[in-house]
Amino acid sequence: MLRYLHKYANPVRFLSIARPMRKAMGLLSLFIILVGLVFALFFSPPDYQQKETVRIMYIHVPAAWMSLMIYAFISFSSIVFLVWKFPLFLILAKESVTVGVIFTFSALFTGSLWGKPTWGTYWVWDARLTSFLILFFIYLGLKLIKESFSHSSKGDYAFAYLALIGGFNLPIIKFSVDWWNTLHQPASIIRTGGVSISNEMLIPLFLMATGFLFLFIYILLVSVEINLKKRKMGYSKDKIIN
Amino acid sequence: MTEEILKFISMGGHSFYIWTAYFIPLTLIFSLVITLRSKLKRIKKNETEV
Repeated sequence: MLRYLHKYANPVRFLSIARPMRKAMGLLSLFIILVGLVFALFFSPPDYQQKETVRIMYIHVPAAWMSLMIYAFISFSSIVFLVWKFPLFLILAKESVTVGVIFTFSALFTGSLWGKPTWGTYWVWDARLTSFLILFFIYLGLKLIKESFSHSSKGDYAFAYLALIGGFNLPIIKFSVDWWNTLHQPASIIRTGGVSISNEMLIPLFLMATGFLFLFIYILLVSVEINLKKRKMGYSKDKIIN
Repeated sequence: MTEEILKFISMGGHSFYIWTAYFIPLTLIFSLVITLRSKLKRIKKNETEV
């Protein structure tokens, strides 16, 4: 594995693979999200209890999955950076933060909008919602470190250690609905007893999740290319922004 | 036809929750995509000038 990591941790080699992949990911994500939206808004049936509001699930659940997956990716990349000192993995971790913040905010925001018509309230301090809010704050902390120490190696280590420590929140989020009594429903898809929702609802859910996954890969590849080009040209951050 | 469209938009009386839940996240994520694409384009332009 280490040999494999060494091979692709080279920025030039990484970019040679990333460029053609980026275009494919961009087009694929756009197409899959559009198809997913058509299924979510037109073809999926209303729920017998929640009626039309169940359609919020097709954006809320994939956004929540993405925020957890992106955080796991950030933690993994930070471990690789801390153990083997590959700078490319730190760049990958840092460039994932902004999109992670957006997905986590989206999951909280859409969950809140879904909560009002189904639970009668926008927010409750139950274990799932609170642990997810903590994830959002950890993401904001990472973003703050990323922006504050953009030219210092001390910031790199602060970022990697916070990313690692924050990873302990992921199993708490996943199992919070089993460990505590929560208003949030238990898992319906990733659970030991198998999937508990109908195929008509699963199709748009997986289409949106796949579209978001490809979109994340696309955003990450563009961000990493920008970062590597900035480094190569020795540009200051301000020069690029203005 | 118009009635069908209005029925679809009203989403069983939950239009505010459903349309806002789709509009805000998708706007945020695609705004990030547009910002990054223009940044990359600008860097590529500067790179060729240098």
